Amino acid sequence: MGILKKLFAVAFGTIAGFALVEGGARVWIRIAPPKILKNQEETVLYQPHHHLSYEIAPNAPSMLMRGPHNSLGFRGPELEARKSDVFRIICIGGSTTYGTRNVNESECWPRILESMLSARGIAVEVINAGVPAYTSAECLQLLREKALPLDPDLVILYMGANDIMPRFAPDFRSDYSHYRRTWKKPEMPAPPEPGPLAIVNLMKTRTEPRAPVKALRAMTSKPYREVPEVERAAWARSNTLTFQRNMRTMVDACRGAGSSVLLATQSYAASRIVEGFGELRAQFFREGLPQNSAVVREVARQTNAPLIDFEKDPIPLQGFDDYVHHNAFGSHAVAAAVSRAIIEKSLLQRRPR
Amino acid sequence: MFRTTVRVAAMMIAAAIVPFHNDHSLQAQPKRSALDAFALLNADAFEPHPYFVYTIRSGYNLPLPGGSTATINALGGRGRALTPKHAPRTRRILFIGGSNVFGLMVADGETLASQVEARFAAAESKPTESRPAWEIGSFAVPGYTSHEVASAFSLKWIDYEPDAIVVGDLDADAFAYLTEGYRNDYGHLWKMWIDEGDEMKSKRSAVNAAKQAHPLALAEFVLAAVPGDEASRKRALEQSNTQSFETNIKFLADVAAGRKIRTLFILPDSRHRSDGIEIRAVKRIREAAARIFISKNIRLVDSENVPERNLSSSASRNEFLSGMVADQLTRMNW
Repeated sequence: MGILKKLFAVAFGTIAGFALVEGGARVWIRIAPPKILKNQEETVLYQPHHHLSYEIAPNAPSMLMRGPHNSLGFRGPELEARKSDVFRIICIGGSTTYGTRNVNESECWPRILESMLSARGIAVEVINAGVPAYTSAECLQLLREKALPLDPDLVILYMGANDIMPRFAPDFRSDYSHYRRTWKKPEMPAPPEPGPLAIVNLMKTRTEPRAPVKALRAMTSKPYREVPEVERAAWARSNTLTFQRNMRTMVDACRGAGSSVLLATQSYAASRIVEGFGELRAQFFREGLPQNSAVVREVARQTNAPLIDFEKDPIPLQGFDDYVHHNAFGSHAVAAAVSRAIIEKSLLQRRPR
Repeated sequence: MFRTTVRVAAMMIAAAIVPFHNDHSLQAQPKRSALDAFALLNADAFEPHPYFVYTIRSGYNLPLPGGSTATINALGGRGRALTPKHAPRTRRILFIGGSNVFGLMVADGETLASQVEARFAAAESKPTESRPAWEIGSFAVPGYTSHEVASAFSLKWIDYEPDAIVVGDLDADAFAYLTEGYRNDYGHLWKMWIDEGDEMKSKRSAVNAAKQAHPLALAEFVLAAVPGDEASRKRALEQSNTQSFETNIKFLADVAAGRKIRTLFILPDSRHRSDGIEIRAVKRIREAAARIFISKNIRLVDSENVPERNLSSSASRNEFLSGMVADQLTRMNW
């Protein structure tokens, strides 16, 4: 009898334990949100655009180091109606303008720039139109589609790093259509259906994502065989003419629209280029970043545009979070350099329309 | 002397009256809706583009709604390809724009660019220092609005180093004004054509060919919406504005000016549209374009100066228009 009691107790305990676990799994499946992986955050943040390839979704949600975003898909507060006595500055570029390593929007250099100029008693509004991973092609499109209609007094063009990637993608085209593609947002995984054994389903969802998740670059860039011989051959055939053309076109368009323009070479930390890249791609960046800086200098010379040369006057190394993105210290240094250039080069005068 | 004076006077009076005379024997055909013609374009001749919505595939012979075939050269333009390098003592003229400049209803030799080229070829013998040769290229794409033309010019066509561009007539923007849900980026008109990859495209073409099915139309891939009935189009027109159009053509003009590229703009023709609402939409484009180009001191050609008798066909329209365009090009400050 004693043995039977024990066996019964074990059996009952096993069944009860299993029922508790299974019941808990079923409840968890119903109430817990789907697991959001890092790359899925980017899926939420961006949306396709027929002229820009992609944009930050209007009023996209805030998440760590991303946001807030206004109705134009820019990082920052909602824009106010244009006031004639307020000097409007628009900053155009990639992630180093957007501030992908800046936790708060107040740490992004465009916002710091606004504070610095306001502290001098200048009525100014600075718009952060940076979009992560934008090349000069997307920046040019954004200038026409979104920035110039805002009637800026001054446009700051700060880019160069993202134009290196199209150069080592094969089958180069001068409009970067060999690199960028049209795309649609991947669907978020649906909550798992509770089958006969919910605990098994739950374990599956925690180890196997239901749908392919993709980072921004994977969604918006054309896939190719990413092997050294392909990339080396593409790089050898490439040049900086497209980047130069786009930079020159942006300057011409700004001036034609009555806006002043301030150019800046890409700030970077050469000693940190190797981090996160393979050796071959690190080599492309080591070669490409100075080449693009030279392009920006040449465009500034051709167009007599004011220039901030971060290659000649670099941001201190402790201002970098990686080879090109700034931390809060670095953002402050960038903003200070831009503010100084605006004052010293007398860029605060509104041009007649 | 008196008879001569009377004859001259009669000729002058006749010259003034004739363009306004409604010649019923040469009654202009109601203009085929450009949207109808666009709807017949085969998607196989185009490919998705991340910045211009779509582009023509190079080297493809495109069957046209009018019955002819457009020869697309290796550069993606219509007709003869430009030489890779801008030859010395040559004036390179690019024709850019939408369906009318492309020549959706005409053969290769009847497009506006071809007719201008033919005029210059007939007028000139050997190029000299003071009278350079003319090289004409056409990069217009059917259906392009001011957004796509401005994008493609700044990201692609400008690389061909033109000395002048002829832009016309951008009346596709009218369809943006006539389609409800207006957005400044024309996202209410266009949708993103998802790149299925070459393998999928080949498979689809093969399936269509095997079934002898009608090839899929470009419009199915790129149009998000089309103009609706009269009430819908009226509402759409009231909700829309020309801000984007003005930004785009200003951008085009400024980018060209920055490179010292001369610009000639062809104002669209509001005559023979499907109805009064479409006429109003096209007139809106005309007014906005005239306002901007006159303020920028840019030459204009008004396609409404083409007499009615020349509107019996697109080819005869282009033939007359080419004279006006050629005249303006030769008068440019070279």
